[in-house]
Amino acid sequence: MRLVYLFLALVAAALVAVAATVRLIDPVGWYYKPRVVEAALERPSEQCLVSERLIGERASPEFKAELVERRRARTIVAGTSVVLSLHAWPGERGFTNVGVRNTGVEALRPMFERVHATRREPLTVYVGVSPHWFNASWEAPNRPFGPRPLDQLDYLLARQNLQSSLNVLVSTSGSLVEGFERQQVGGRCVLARGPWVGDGEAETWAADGSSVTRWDLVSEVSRGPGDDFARDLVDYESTYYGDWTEFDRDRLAELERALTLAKSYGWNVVGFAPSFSRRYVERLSTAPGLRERWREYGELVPARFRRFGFSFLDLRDVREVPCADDEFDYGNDGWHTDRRCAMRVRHLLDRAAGAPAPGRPASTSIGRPSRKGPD
Amino acid sequence: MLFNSFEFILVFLPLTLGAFLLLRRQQHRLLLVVGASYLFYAAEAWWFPALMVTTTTISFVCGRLIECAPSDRARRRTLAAGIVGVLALLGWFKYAGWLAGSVSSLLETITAPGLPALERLTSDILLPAGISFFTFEAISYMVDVYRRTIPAERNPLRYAYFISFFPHLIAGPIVRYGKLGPQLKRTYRLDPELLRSGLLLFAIGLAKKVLVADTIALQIDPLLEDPSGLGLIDSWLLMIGYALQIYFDFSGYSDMAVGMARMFGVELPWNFDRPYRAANPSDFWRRWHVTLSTWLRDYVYIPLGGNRRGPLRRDLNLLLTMGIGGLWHGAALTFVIWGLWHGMLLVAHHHLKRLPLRLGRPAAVALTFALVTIGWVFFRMPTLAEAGDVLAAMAGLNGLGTPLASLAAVLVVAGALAWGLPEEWRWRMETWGPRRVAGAAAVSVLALLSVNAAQKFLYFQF
Repeated sequence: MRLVYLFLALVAAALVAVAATVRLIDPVGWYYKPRVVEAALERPSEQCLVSERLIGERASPEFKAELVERRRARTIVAGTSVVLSLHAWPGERGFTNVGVRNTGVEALRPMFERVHATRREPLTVYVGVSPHWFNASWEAPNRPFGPRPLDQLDYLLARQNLQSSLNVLVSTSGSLVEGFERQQVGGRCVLARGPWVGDGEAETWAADGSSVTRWDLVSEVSRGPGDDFARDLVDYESTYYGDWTEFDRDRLAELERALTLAKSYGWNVVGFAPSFSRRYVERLSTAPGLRERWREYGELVPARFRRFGFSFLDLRDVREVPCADDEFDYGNDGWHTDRRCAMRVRHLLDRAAGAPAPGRPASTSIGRPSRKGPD
Repeated sequence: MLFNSFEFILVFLPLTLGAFLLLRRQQHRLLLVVGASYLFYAAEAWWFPALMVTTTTISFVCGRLIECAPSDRARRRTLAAGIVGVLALLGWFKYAGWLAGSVSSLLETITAPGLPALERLTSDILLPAGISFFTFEAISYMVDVYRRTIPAERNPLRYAYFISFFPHLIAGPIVRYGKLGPQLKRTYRLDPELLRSGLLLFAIGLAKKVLVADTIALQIDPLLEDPSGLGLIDSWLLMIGYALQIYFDFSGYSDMAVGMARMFGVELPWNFDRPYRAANPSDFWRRWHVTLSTWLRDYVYIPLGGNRRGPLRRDLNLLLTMGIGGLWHGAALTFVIWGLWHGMLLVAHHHLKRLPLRLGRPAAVALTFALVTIGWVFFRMPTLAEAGDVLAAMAGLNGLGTPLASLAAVLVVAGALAWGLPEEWRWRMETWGPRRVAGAAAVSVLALLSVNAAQKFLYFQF
């Protein structure tokens, strides 16, 4: 048995060492780090962006919940990556974007509960409802708050995460194992670690919880050919819209449960359908099999909101906002509106919520230079 | 739950083994392993265990009835009923969708709109993992009882263990009751050497899967998505890559299964013996998926008459047996063709070996490997059209193509392992000292760190 114990002890010791290294360095921001938020918000005159390498996808729900408390949020927007570009008006302090990438309708209730636990007062809540949430063949990769212990093992015991951790150690000469530094990227202060933000490889969070992408931050980063439609559509149909044979009633019921919760909290909710480029709209509204789901979405989802006395804006066609067909992020992908278009959406949402007019929707300080399209 | 997941390696296996070692009574141990195996199977889908219970019950009851039957005729009838019963389940879950689709397409081409209602009925049938394996095990048990090779098992728990034992449940090795039953009757005694060799074999199998097979898969899978642009060199490299991938994948799985079984005090049959060292097709099938090839020999080829009824009937039996073997792998024409290809190779070998032609062993090994690799085209490509594209490229009809340097480098390493070392179950790990054990631990750690990016075992689909 001695050699059995030797084998097990060696394996266990090596795995513990790897897990400890990855946990300590946390190369992709899996774990929430309150100190980062402290640092980002400590100078009201210049609130820093936070690299997603410090607070990544998994940690972002905790981060967003913390922002709700610190910013004393009065208005929040929930949803998935397509709502992340919605941000605060200049000078507005009560807005927080609590959107979380790669989540589905199941993420709404946990986030609502967390927000309510923090801010027990009537809020204005914008909910971006993605059509693919109701495709039973698609499953959201993320569930906010508290990944399962086995998910943590997948993270802590991954070769690529060990490699990334060692890269952080090398690139920062070991000085920023647990820390971070203030970097200047595209004229903005960014809390980061390692060279990735400057190299245009990573996304960042603004202090209001919205996402500032590399295209917003680093002007040299190419926006892509401006027509990734064909490529993206293949991905899109094989993942988000693949095998969508019927509208998922269970998830519709889950949406109702989230709205019931919001109603019980006394929130003023405005639902909206995130925008797509004209070509996506044409494709999704006419493709056999999908067009029926597209039509059902337009009937069923707004009706659920109305049942609770909430408004719903169907903005699936970006021309309804109105925005131009090239006002999208991620290399102009046709389904993540950029920050400039997002604020036109925000204007419509504010109006639907009966919020006081904040003034004209304007390009924000970190938006790109004005491009064609309505302003 | 996959063998190559943390859920299995760090939770399920240690808990089950720990509890097994703590128990004192053999009956309790059997109960624990059967319970754990059903839990393991239910992790795939909650209703899968019901299917396994059905197959277990049919074959167990038929075994008893065959033994008690008053006449040969009654024995034969009971056996036939049992085989039809378990095959009906396999047929419905594995072949109904394919058959309905094929019939419907045929009707569609001839006359009218096909059979959409039948297609709809069968299109959503989910193939339960492992059903092909435990169905064959159940059949072998009933036939062995019928042949009086073994007595019928009277203890349902031991029989349930035979069908459900989780190390071999999903992808074999295909076990015979005659080998497993006696081991279950013995009271387990902790054997440190067996435990150690099981642990090491499991670790080496995991490494073969996640470090070798998955590394090759990462390189070849994207390129085989669209085979129409392949040329001579890249198509051969890709298919050699696939030949090595499926070997390391499946033999890695088998090593893990054999290793785990040893941890529970059970010796499972080995499945591979460096198959690409084979010098002819018959030799290949004595080294590749041996528990399947011997099953096909004992329960299909020999009952068909084997080689006892003349060369023509033997050739036909070989083709039929290998065609069935192909169909067993999957409900698709490509698998049948793969089986028939091997049947033809075996027939050709039987005829050619009588001629005064002799190749040197290296040339014979190379030729056998090339022929087996050509067969893998039908196994790997999802449609005949795509298989045709790859074969055309391998025949040089699409030009030379591009040499894939990084793939070639991986294949050199994988090839050296596949041809240079003896099969892992021959390594006599129970005699290893501290240095080798430490080396195996290092390899295990590397493998475990790749688990989160690991892919399913290829044979899980069968």
